[in-house]
Amino acid sequence: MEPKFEAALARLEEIVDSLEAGDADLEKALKLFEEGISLVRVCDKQLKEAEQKLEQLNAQGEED
Amino acid sequence: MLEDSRLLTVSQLTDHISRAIQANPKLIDVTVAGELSNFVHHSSGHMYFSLKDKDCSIKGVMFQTWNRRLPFVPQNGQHVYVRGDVVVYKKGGNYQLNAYAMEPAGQGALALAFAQLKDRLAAEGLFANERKRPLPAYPRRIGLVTSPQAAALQDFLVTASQQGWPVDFELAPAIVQGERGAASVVAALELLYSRQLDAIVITRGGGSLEELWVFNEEIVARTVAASPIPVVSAIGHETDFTICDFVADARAATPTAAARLVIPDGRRLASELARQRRRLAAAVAALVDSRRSKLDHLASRPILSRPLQILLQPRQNLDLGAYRFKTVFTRLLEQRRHGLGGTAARLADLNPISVLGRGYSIVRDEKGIIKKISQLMPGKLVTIQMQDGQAQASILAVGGDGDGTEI
Repeated sequence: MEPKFEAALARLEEIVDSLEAGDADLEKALKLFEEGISLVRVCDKQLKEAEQKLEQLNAQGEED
Repeated sequence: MLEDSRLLTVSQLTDHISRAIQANPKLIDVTVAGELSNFVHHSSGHMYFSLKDKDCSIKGVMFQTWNRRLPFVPQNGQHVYVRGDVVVYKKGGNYQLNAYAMEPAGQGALALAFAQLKDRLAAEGLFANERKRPLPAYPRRIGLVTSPQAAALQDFLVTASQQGWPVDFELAPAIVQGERGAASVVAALELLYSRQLDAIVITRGGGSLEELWVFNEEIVARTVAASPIPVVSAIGHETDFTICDFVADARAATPTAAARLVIPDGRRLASELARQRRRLAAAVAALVDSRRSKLDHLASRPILSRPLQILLQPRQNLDLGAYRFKTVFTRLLEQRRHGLGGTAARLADLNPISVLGRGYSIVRDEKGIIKKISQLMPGKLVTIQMQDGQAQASILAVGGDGDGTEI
């Protein structure tokens, strides 16, 4: 199951902060980076779906 | 004197007086102005009173037959016009005014009756704001009490149809003027009370106080007050107020105003709905946009957008390590190579080929290297290898100590 958007975003922020701090060892950093990239993808997908849904609903609203 | 032929009984005399009065047109159907006193509304239903001015007083009676029509309640001290006949009350031996009509002086009877009923119902709390119910915001069925022929109904329906809001009407026809009006309006209201309605509108066009009187009748007011359904009263014009208006849940100045009051403005609702829909869409879009910008912001942070940065420090460490390793290793190698030099030379010395360089040769037959003279005999074919080539030879002779060989 995909994580909730807000939770995913919060985790992503945490990861970015941690990576920027540069205190993780290489193996950990790579794991975090991988997780971060996958979170970006998940969030982006969820947002795209939301945006599409909105457009669709708006279009329906205009027709009424 | 006691035998006087003109001797009369009390009754005879009273009859004379009575007849004399009745014969006088000035005492028949007169209207008298005066102030009421000693007013009594007797349990028999008749009203007894005195009418007086500064100097004089006359007794009066108004029988139930007549006072039943009296719209107002006479009160002591009230200045009134009383219309009636002067008659003799034979039993009491006095004359009195037999009244069949009474009106308050200064204002009309209806005006006074209006004021009195209004005061009374107000004292009962029938006009209190707490009693007023709100009209339904989105009514679907509305009851109408009015005259089917009246312009008021047309005005109401035309305005109602312009509101752009779907609503059904149930018309309860009523007589809205005259003596039968009150009962008719009450019957119409009670009919509608049994229906499933969102509101009831009572309406009538403008008219004089007399023409609108039905809506000032107590029975109408009380029936409206008892309504289970919110009632809008729209009687007459802007300046006309009736008791019905006061007791209803809402008053509209005209039938047209009543339609606007009770029926929502469909176009306004539609545009409000559209406005709310736009707000809704904008709110959700803003929510999504803010998430989008936050995500984009995070995704564009250097650590994610240029991920090799992660490897920068390790790479640097690695490079440094590698450099040091190489340096150390090279040195190590040099040392080894150096150490190895002697060994290699030594190793080279052991190579038999290198001996040939110093002028030695190797003799072989088909079996291998010839190491002993006993391996040879005259006529044997051998191969002689030197440092830069080899030659075939035939043994001429074999000796004990290295001579006698012939090629």
